[in-house]
Amino acid sequence: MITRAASLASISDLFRPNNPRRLRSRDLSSTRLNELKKEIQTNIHIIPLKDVYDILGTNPITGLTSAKAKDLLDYYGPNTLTPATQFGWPRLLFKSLCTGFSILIWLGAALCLVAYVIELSTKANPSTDNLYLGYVLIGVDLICGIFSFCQNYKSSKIMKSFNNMIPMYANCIRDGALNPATPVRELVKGDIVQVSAGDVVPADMRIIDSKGFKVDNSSLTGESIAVPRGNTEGTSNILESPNVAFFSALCVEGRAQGVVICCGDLTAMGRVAGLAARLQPAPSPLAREIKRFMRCMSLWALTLGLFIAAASLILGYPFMQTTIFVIGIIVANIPEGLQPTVTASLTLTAKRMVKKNCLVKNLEAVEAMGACTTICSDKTGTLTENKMCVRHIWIWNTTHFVLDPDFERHIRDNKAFNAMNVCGALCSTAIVTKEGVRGDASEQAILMFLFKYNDPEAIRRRFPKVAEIPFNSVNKYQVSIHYDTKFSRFIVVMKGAPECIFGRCATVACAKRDIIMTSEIRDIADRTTEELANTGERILAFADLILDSNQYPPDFQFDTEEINFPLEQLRLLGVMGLMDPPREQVRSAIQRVRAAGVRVMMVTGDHPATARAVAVEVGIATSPRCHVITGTELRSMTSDLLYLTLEKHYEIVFARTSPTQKLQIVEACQRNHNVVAVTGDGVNDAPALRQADIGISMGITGSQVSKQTADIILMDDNFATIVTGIEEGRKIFDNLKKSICYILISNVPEILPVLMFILFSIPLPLGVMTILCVDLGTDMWPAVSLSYEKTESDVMARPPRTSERLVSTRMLWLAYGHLGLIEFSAGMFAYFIVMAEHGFYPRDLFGIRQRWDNEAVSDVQDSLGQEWTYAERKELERACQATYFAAIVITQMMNGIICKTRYNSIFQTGMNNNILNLGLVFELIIACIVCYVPGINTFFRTYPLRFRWWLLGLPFSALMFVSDEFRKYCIRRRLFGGWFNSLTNY
Amino acid sequence: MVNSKLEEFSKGTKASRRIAPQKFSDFLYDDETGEVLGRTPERWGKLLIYLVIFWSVVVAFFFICLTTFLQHFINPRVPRLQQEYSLIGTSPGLGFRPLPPDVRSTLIWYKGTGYDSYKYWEDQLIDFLSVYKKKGQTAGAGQNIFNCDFKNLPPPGKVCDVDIRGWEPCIEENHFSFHKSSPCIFLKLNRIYGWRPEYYNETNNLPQEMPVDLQTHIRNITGYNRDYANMVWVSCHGETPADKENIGPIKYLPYPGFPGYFYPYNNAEGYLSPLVAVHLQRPRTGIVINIECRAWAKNIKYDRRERLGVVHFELMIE
Repeated sequence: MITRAASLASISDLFRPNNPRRLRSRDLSSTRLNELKKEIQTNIHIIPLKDVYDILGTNPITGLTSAKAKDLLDYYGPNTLTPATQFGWPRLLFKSLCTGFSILIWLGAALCLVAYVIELSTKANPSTDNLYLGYVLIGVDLICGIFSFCQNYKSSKIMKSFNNMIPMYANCIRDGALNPATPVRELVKGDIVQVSAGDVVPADMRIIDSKGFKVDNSSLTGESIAVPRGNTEGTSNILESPNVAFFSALCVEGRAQGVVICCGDLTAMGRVAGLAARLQPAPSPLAREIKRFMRCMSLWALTLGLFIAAASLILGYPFMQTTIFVIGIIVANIPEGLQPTVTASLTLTAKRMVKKNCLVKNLEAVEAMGACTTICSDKTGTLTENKMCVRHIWIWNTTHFVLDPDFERHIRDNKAFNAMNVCGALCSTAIVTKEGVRGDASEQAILMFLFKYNDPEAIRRRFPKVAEIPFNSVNKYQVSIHYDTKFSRFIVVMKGAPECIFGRCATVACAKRDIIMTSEIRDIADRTTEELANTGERILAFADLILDSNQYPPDFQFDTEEINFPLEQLRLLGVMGLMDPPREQVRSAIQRVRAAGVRVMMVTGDHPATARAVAVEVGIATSPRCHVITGTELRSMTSDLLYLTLEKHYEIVFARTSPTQKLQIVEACQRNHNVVAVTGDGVNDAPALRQADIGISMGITGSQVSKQTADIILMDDNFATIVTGIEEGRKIFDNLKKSICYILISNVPEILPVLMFILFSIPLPLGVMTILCVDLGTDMWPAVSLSYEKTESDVMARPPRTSERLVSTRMLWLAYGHLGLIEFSAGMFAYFIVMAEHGFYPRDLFGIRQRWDNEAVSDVQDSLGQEWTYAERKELERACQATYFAAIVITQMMNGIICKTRYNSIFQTGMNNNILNLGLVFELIIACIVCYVPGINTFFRTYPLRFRWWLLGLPFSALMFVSDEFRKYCIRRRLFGGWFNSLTNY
Repeated sequence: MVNSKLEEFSKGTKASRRIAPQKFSDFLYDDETGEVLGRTPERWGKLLIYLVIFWSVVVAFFFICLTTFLQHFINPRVPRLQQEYSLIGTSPGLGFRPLPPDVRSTLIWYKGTGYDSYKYWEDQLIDFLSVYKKKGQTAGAGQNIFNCDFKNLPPPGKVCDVDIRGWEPCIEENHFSFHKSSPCIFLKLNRIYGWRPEYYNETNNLPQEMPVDLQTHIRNITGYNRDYANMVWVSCHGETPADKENIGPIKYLPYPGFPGYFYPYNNAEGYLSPLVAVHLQRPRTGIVINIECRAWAKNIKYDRRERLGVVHFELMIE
């Protein structure tokens, strides 16, 4: 008791406005988060009200004094939700400028500038090449950084929408007077508050006094059923305790007076909001993959750079030269185009998914859908329509399923059914309006059902209501008395829980006549209702009694307080089973999802029996004996035990779970690197949606909060859209592999020239500027357009990828060991040919670099004795580099065709990806612009090439094509003992 | 209580997870499978053989392409692209000797008296001129030497002689006059296959910016024999007014230009580039002198900033 009080004190301490424990703001935030993740630990709803007043220092009649209220307000802060500490945009910008390859590019830029400064200080008229290159690298970095910053910078609007749920003013008693305009933010613990129908509960309060008080707790529990709350005994779980009304719940009926027990962030809703806003979801699987790849790549580039630097310094190259080597190596090794390609591919897929009613808010969630191994689905509103429906009807001795095609034939001319029709129409408080039926969910369902067979309004006109006893939780039935205008007599109709009704019945209506209710009949009826209840249906029994017109003449006055009419010896008409039906397509969608190897679990706040029944119906559970864990069981589980339970049982249904428990379940699923999708529509799902790898919300029925927390919104509320999502996600993963392979292949002809330059001392075959041209210019469109490729095999027939890498060793073998080398040889071939055409034959190029790059030497001899000045040589070098570039472009175009397929032959798939075809043409056009447009070609150090130099890459393109078709052929046939399959089938 | 619940699952859990260093050492060498770096030695061998085969195919393809092209389209004696079709262009540059040892430096720097100091420069020149000296001795070269004259142009396949022995004082025996603080710098015009100079040989049509002494020389020599004016003229001067003062008198040996009969260059066996030895007779010592030498022909473009048609070097004698 004391420790509880202490912990209560400590947690409220933690949420005081001005940082009581002098923690650093980040620590405070994480401590608060950990505190919020725990279940609410309190006994304030169980202890007698008098103790509550003592603890809170208040008085139920006069309320708090204004002075005390002000003190408490100053101490604990206002009754509002405090937003989580957010990182400012400068920090975010800085982060996005320094992630992945950016650091290396910064390094390259810095080296360029250092080289320029050194040159500036040592030479009279330094060349500005290094300065330009430095600027270009900085530009690349800034553009990429700002690009990803714009992607990441989404201001958190979660808190805002939570705040919209808070009312402005409340009726509060202070100093013994009722103040109807007390601002809600000024409420404190101990305040006495009055709430009436239509109000929103301003803080968590314990009910002191109530009349017909019903609240809609849907924002917390997800079930939009109005629940009665009053001054009764509390249950151990505060969320289900009937004597507590929660902050932000809507009062549907009646009125109540209560004492505030929790304010602001510490209210049940405040905790949900705090969790949703504070949770930082783990990086998406794709982000993890890319990060890993980038780390490897950067490490490799850096190692190679350092190695080259050390080697060249040892070999005696001057520092300047070494910097140029290192810059070359770094720029060549980094696939600069990767990030834009991935983002563009995801954006395009997201756009395509919007057309399929799937709004993607977080781009990476697209791919995460494909990797998803577990879906935790909320029941109400997601799997079901959140609308009650009559499902079964039991009329003496037979249970009819209303969706049965033969149903109408069975009930036609059934007297009992007709009587039940009348009873259902009359014994109801629901009103029929032009817009539809208004009233309690069950009554709505019944009326909607009756509309199919009869006109309830006509019945109501025939039987005007004389008196009624409304439903209450003690009686568990409702009765009304109507005057039968046709036969001039009264009729008593009753509806309620079967166990109450059955006992009051003496006869049972049959198809043709009534029979006496015997104990056997009673047994059968009990069994039937039990069976129906076990399928999760809400059971209502109907009974009526025609009053003798002699005993009860038309002017008889019925008294509902002092009951002066019989409520026994009724005639049992039948039983209706109602339930919230699963949405159409859900069953087939779940089947497809499960066939794709994705586990579907149900996590709901609803009753276990209902949950189980729906689970069986939609196919989440294949047998009715599936494992059901309730919130109470969950509370006594450690996280290890939960994890192991999840491992052991494949089909699990969680029922009666609280928002924090949903979060725990998601966290347990995420252990072992599972990728978890959560679907939900309520506010109570928000923390789980946030924590999940993919949060999926419903566009139509979903609450504002859930939509803002989610990564993906299903605009049509159709669970089947998730299947499309998974399919698209898997497709994009496959296609991203192709894109990345395509990008990586061009890395090889970018790296090796620098090595050739160093090892063989030939003039540099490919400049750094031209490398950037390939990476960020010509390669971009084809790489992105590969995401438009159709899938090669049925992606939904295989299990989700768990250990499959985006960039695997096999891909590296293929890119670096096979295709890249062919591209490199194409480039070198082109380079040597242009050199030879100008007089430098290949054998004479080796070892020429020392003199070639020496500005002071104005007469370097070629193989024909001609002598070249520095400017002429550099011009020739530019031409050679441009030809090398052209060869890369030509071979990369072929590569685009090769990378279209990973398994099938191009002759099978054909060239029907028009975006790729266009991309290939575009690639050529960009290359031409880079080479021929004056100004641009001087900037990028290229040269207007002769037409024939463009053709030099063609033989190598052909070689690439042939060798790769051969490779794919071998893969399809598993030739050579599956050699290519295990080596290069990425 | 918790433990008793956990017991149910205890069988299912794995014994232990391997920690990172263990994983890494397993990657290097795995006892269980005998794998080295993730592959067994046998599989490494297979991979190596495969790669050798694949790479051989690529390399072979590369060389087939290269040799085919070179054999079919490239003449070993004649450039495929010439003059304006080639990037070498039609405006030859100038070169100077001796070259400084530092990369990117054009400073000729030595102490006037110390042999050790100018030995480097002398050796450079000896090395450079050795081709001109031993042309008679080497086989192939020298055999087709033709005694050229402004009137006797060499027939195809023959080359003109450059006799460097008579260029007193710029001769090896005289240490190229380096020891007297009046060094000889050798200039040469870059060879461009098939390039024919367009001479400034009309005395009344000499460019304005041509130095007066060169103009005088041209007038004199034209007066002597018109053919002698068929030369690519050369002039050297200090770059700044101060340099012009410091440079002192200059003497060009054997002529202030390259005789026209050396052109065009046709890659004939034993061809020797004509030279001009610039003898700086009394350059000022102890100061850096910026010297620019320019070649004069109508089809030699000149741009000081772009370094076209000129050669620049600095001289510093202590």
